[in-house]
Amino acid sequence: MRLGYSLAACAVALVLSACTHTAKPISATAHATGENAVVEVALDQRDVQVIKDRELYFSIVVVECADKSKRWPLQPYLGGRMIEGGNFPSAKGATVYGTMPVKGFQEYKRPCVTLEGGGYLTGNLSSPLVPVQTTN
Amino acid sequence: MMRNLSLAVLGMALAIASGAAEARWLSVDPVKAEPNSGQNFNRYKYANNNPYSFTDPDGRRDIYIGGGWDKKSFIGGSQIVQSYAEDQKRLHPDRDIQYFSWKEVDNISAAMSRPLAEGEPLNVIGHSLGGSQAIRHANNSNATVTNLITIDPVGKQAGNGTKPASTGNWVNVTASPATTDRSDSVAKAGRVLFGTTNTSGATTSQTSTAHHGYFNTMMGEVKAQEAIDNSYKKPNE
Repeated sequence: MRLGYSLAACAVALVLSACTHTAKPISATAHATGENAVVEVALDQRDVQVIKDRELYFSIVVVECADKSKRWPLQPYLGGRMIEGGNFPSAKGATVYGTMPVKGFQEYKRPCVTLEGGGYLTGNLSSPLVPVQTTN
Repeated sequence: MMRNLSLAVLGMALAIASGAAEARWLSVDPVKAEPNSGQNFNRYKYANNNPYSFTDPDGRRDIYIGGGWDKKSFIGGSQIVQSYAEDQKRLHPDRDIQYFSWKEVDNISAAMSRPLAEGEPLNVIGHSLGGSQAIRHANNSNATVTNLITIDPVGKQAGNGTKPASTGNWVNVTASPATTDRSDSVAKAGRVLFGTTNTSGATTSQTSTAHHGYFNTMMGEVKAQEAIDNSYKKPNE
């Protein structure tokens, strides 16, 4: 019985762990606040739900649209609260943000963002590149 | 709860089975090889043939050691510490910030062994299984560790829990959340498999209500980044 349970758990773990969820951010914007650039990424309800259910950890990674190797991962926040392990307060759509120095952001000719992360046996998180609209 | 634990144990076993250490340097050494001879990369030549009395002036460094499932892999990878280190590297391009998985024992040893100029800091930060590795390396290395920061460490370390002789400041955080999430289950399984970490000798020891995986939160709670940043300041700054 115990062996059967373990094998079933193995199978579930293998299925789960092989999954990469590809999020589809709705939009990405950036604005300056003092010396910091605030990079915001809007997520729909489905993506928030998956991140929450799978307890995924992720970063908002600022990259050059034409060069994904020029990376700057930012810790996501929502309303001043750090988002870790999918700890969204609810499974509604949400706009998360991260901050970086304006000087660093200005080094990007055409900034894009992508989401990147993973969980403890719950697969990885990725997303396509989303161009960042600069608002000031 | 049991299900989470079973999955965690399985995953831990898979992680061990996957084995091969992956070396990935997040930093580029600012010293370039001489194009003709490359002699400045000769470990004796670079210090005028006397490596024991001269040191590497570019050595100021922070070493981050991630736990199980930190580094991205096919079975997941939270990249919690890896992303944090990468962010810090962007914020502080003047520092030699390196990231390793807890399994990269030889690379961690090599990074800690590289000489530092007098007064240059060496900070070692470890999470989960990386925490016990950080203590182990601080104990086994001759390097003087300015700040040893262990975030909810998992696994037995070298030594008996006393502060490593060559370590200045040891800050430890233990996660004690009210509820259990997957990261807590993984940590629990890790302690069954690898033992618990004795942190009784830490200079500062704090308990957090954060989950095991909330590395960023716990780093903030003990002002770890401030301690690291302060280590780079000159005495009159």
